[in-house]
Amino acid sequence: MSEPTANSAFNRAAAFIATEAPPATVAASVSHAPLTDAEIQRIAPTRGDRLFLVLSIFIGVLSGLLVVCFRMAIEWLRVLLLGSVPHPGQYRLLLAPMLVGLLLGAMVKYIFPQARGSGINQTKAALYVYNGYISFRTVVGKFITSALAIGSGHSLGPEDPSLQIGAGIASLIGRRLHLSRERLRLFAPVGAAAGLAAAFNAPISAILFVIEEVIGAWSAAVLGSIVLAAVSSVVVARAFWGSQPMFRVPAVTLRDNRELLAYATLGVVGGFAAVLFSRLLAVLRPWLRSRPDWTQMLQPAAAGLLVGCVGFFGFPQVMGAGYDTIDHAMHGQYLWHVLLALAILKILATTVSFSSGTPGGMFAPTLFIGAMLGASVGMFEKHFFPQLVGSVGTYGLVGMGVLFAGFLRVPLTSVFMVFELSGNYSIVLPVILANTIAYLIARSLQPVPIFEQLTLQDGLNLPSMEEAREETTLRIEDALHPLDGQVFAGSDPPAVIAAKLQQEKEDIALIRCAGNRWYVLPAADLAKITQATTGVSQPIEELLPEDRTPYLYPDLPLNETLAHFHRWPLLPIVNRAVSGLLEGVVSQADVLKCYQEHSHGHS
Amino acid sequence: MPTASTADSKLHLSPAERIQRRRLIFQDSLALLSLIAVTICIAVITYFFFNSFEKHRRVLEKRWFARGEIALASGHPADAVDDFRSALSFSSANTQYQMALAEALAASGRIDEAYAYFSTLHEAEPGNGYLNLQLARLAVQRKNPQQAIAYYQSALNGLWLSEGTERRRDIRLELARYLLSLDRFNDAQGQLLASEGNALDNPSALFAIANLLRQAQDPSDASTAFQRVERSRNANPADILASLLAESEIAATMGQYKRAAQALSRYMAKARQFPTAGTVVQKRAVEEQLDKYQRMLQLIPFYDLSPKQHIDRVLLAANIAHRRYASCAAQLGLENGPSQNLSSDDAASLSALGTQWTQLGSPNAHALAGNAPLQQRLQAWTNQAEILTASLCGAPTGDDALLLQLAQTPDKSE
Repeated sequence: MSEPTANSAFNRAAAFIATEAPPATVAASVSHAPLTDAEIQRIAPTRGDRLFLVLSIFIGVLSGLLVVCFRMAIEWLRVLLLGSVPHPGQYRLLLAPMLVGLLLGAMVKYIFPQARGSGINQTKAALYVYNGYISFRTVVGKFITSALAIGSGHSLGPEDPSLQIGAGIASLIGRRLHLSRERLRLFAPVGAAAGLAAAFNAPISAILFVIEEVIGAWSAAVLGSIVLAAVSSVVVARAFWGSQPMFRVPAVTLRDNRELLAYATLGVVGGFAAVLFSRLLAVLRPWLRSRPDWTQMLQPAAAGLLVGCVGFFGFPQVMGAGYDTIDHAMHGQYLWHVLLALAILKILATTVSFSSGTPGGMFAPTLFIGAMLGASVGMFEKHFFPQLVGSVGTYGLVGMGVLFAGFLRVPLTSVFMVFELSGNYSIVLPVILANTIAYLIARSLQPVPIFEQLTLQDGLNLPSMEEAREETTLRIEDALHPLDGQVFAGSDPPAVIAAKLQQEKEDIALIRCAGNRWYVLPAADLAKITQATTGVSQPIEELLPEDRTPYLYPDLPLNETLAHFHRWPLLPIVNRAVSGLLEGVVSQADVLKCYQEHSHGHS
Repeated sequence: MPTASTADSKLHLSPAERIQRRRLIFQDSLALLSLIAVTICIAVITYFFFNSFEKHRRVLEKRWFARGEIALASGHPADAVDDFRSALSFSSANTQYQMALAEALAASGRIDEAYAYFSTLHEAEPGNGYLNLQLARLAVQRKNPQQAIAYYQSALNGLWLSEGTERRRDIRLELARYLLSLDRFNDAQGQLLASEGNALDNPSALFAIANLLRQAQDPSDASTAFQRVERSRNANPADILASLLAESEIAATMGQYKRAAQALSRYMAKARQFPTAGTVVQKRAVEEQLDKYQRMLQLIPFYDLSPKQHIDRVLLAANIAHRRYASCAAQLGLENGPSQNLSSDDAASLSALGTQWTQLGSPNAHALAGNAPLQQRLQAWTNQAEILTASLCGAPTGDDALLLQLAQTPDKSE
């Protein structure tokens, strides 16, 4: 389809303006009530598609701007509440997170109840439960409460809230433009990708994360919009922050293939750390939520006090998102034991902060813990095997990917995230090796991913993307069996076929027609044909209706057969390479049996 | 959004539907326009919000860096580490802050941290001369000579943005000092001779090189370097005087007393030329040393003297040594039989010396004339007598002290 030129657009507009005004009676009869989806589809069938793409760009731009604002709000609050650079021994480190925690407890309870938590599951819930609806109040609440929490030093990050803010903006715009319910539902992941892309300054990772964790599948309907929105938001974010990656990454080199052993060690350490982190959250969060109602409001304050204590007594790096500390760690500013201490303290601080219901995300803490562990392992190995180990910064970078893969269970995103953050493809082997090891360890020791655990704790039952990826699809070949009876030719007379069926005690005849097509003829229908054509030896094919059985192949999903059983009691399955060659047949009973056996096997 | 009436006709819309369609298009356009307006508003707000923080960030980073510099200058490197780290948290890519932090870490004794940090910076710029030098110094502190020398070499080969020649010369000197501390004299000599070529126009550097060459047990090259300092036009008077003294000492050590005396003579002349350079005590000591060398030159039987003068000096030395021997023997009471203060070996040596003197048969000028073997035997006896008496009867004075000095380096003496 050719693109409409400016001239043709002008002509169309002119024609539109020049159209005669409708008669007054018609104008008076037009209802001013909002149009229904069906009406819109009738009068403007392509409106949805076109708006969807245009709005994707708007969503991207707005999300990018809001994410920049959000980050600036966090920075300002951090400076105002904790001072320009927090140092141990400052009393404000104890007071700020605690007092802000009190305020947050009240806000989350009375004003913004939907702002609680990270935002990932809320976005998934909007997609799967609420038809893409995220209220404006939630967006505002998420912005304010998360900025306050992270700015005051709670050990949480801004990425997940950014994702929810983006999704919320998308939902708001979709509602304002009265898009269909289906479109509204698709807008949430579009906004989510835009928000995350701006927060990470990494569009590919954001797109992959949304596909891997939110949507769960590569959907052509939404992929183009997600890409448009993510790219737009990153362009906006880069207009402010510049095009450099989120972290300054030192030169990445793989000194020696033996160094892969060192990265494998990092994968093992990261896998166990991810399990520890998940288990702590899985235990502490439900326990805190089961406490009496009045304590819920105080929990963010208590969490703030604990995190403040960590900062006050020597490790202020643990407070807030910790991007600068990640940068310092990747540039060798800390010794391995300090890095290890920071990783452990961050796990504890984030567990407490998040479990208390303080709004804020898990991405930045995950990156922090991964970077500290990675740099710690790198430093340790460099100290003891200096000839084997390259840059410590590379280990920090790979460590981030490792925790991402192990804790958030998004292996593909974790690999691409490291590529985008490093801008270097030569890191591919260490990343894939370490991430895979961490992912496998985490998956075997903690089968339920963290986001799924959180949704279950909240009483929701959202689809698990990890399980969906692992799910085996049943195919026609699983239900296929050889034909028991005989195959008849289209030239056979009805009487011959009827006699044969009677002889074999069969109730269905499979007939090969011209052009390698098939027809399934039940014995009852055959009887009618035979009765109507007594004494005539006409070929059966000429007496059959014109339709034929559909082309079905053994490798197709089994559910493809279901639509055809209302017409055909038995379906012939043919070979893809040799036209018309019969591989076998399936009946409705075969298909049901196959599904039941599969379901039984899983249960 | 379809807008043309042709599209209406394709859809077969009723007149009422057409109106609804146009109204929808109008509403959509209005919504998009309002969306654009909202976007512009948010963009403006974001711009001001962002810029306000960026300005504040710049102020903060400069403030923290200035605090760090003050802390470092006032001898509080631990505070400086925190301050520089704070500055870096606002401007993480600032190389100046990074270097300052690494230096502060090193200054505060956090050697391992400083080493780790410098190593990371080094990974990004392996050819940076400054980083290699700092790593070399840290490796010295970490007692890792192999790594230290490698980093010093990298620093020498590395990139220096300004004064590369001077910096490389200074690094060579630093490396040479380190090699000397490891007793690797030959390696140190190599570095010093290489740096000497870059220091010809810098007398103070040349003076330092000369001193190090002397420590590296290379008196010959050290002497040459000291001479270059002396000849240098823009040399510091104090360095010139020190060079002359050193040159004299080296010459004396090598038994070149004539050169030693000449150096001291030049010292006295320069001291008169630069009255403010050198103390009175130093000058007096140099005068005394000069007198000694001149007397020594009167005692040494140079081969370029006439035969008579040569024999006279051999005889003079032998007589002085014999007097010393007799005095020592008397002091030890050997004239009245074996002394109880003396070991049997020493007594035997002293006795043998007396016997040899007797065998030489009171040598005189006549007997020595034309008898080179006898002259040599007499000189050998003189040396032996001064050494033995010094060990048995204490350090000699006067001519005996000078003869002892000559006896101790018989091969080197001119």
